[in-house]
Amino acid sequence: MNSPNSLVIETHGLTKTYKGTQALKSLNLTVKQHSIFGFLGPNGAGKTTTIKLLLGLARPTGGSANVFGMDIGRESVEIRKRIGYLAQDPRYYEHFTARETLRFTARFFFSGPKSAIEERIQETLELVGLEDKADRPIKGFSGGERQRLGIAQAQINYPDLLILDEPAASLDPQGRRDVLAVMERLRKYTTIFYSTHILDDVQRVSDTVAILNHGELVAQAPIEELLAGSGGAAYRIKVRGADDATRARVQAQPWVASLTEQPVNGHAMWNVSVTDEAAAESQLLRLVLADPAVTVSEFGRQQYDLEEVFLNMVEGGKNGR
Amino acid sequence: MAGNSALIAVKDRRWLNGFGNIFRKENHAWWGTWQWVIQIAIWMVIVNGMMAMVTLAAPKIEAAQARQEISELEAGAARDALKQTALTVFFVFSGLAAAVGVVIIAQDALIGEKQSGTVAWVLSKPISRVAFLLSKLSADALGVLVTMVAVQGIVAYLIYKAGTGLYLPIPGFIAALGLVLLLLVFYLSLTYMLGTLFRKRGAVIGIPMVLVFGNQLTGLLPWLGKVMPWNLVMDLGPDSPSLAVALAQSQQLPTITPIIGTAFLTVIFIAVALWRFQREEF
Repeated sequence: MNSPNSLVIETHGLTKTYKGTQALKSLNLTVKQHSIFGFLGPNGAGKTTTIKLLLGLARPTGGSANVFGMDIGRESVEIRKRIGYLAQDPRYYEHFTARETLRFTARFFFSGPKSAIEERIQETLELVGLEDKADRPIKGFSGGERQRLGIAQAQINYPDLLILDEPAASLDPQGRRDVLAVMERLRKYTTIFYSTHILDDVQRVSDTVAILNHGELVAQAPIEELLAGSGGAAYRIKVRGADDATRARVQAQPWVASLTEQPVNGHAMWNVSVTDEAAAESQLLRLVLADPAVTVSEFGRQQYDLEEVFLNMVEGGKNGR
Repeated sequence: MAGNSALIAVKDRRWLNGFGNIFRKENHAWWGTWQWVIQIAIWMVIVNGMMAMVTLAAPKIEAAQARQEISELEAGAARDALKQTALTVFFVFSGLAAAVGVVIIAQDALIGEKQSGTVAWVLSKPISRVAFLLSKLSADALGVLVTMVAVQGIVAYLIYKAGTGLYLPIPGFIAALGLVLLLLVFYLSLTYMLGTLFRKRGAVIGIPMVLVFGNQLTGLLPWLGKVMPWNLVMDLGPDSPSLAVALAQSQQLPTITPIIGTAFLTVIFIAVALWRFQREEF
């Protein structure tokens, strides 16, 4: 695990069928070390199934997967020594306090010394802001407190991989903000693989995203790449005073695929799709400004909203059906 | 992830990884709460209470003999019957009533964890499934041994002495208690096995309960009596005491087939439970 590009998770045709229904269809996934990997998909897409397979809680019906280069079937206990996991709906022993829960969890990883274990428990409670509720039984905890305890128990062993299943799904905005803040704090120490259907969260903290739909992977890419769009590059130009000649000059370029125009408050918003990004970067703005009557108030590469990308993929052609 | 160098990682115990942690937690549920006191009190009342009631007849025999209402011979026969009955009552109640208690305790061990979802959480940690199941089973077996067998046995021994004036032979009595433990572990492992096979409590409780009182079936299927644990604590016939009563009195055992059958089935139940639990998905 020394190379920054080494793979933490690698699946090959991973498949899971429940009573004739394919929950996961030949999933090929790679997760690099030290990434925050957003595993995106609508409810029932197969996200939790994938996580359960990686943790050995379910058995694949086809394909294979390695975590830290170890096989999920044969070396599951070894893999789990290096993983922290937060379930979608985390359940703990209700009569335990938060501190007892963390002590119980820590003992799966550490045999001593007692003082160091207690120190680690305290450190973890402080990380998630539960130190003042550490000795109260869990049964009185709110959803947000349970989720924070979930993150605490998931990272008590200094995991090399944190797997979080919908970590912010059941939380109010403040709870979500807290959980995402904890994830950002942990990113320098560990790889985080988390499933979610909250697109804002993904856009905020992830560096790589995979989109799953109906059990099938429809996209996997660094988030910038995904947001830049998959059908070639496009540029947005907000112009005033451009006439047909200016438009024709731009459209005549061999690297311009299309030009569409929309009026915006007395300006025109051009959307120029190109086939050669380098040419567009160096020439497009000059071409437009060659006419002294034209003014440009905005110029930049077209950025898609993750929601657009997601909906295009999930509802569009790549729907996994 | 950056770690704390002072922390010592647990040793790799292969298929027993995580055993100690769960065993400690389960033991805490027995000994760190009022559970052990409650269990001892319940079985003290049911098992030793019944035995004490039988032995209360002893002074009446003496009194009747003193008033010359019964002869010396009749009094001797009554004393012998009382000794036999006191032991029979103790072992029958230890075997049957306590078996019901064992089923009630054990039914929650796996079903409760499955229904609450805690099993999925625990199994996401570095614990082998074999260790998970065996640690819970071992802790429950230890709890049963102490609260239902050992403590009750010691008290029964003293009640017997107080009621009959006789000390039972200690090795024989311990061996008889061993048979009670075997019987209770039989129902414990059966209930665990059913807990791996079913997701609802009905079958997990119902099947062992039917078997606890299933000795009536030996009328229809006599061979069942040879492999099931009933005759460990229940009389083999009108003039043939149970194996536990015979052992407690240091008598020759008429058969050991029920002991072998019960032990064999217990091993099978545990093996099936482990096999099924390894394949279960959460």
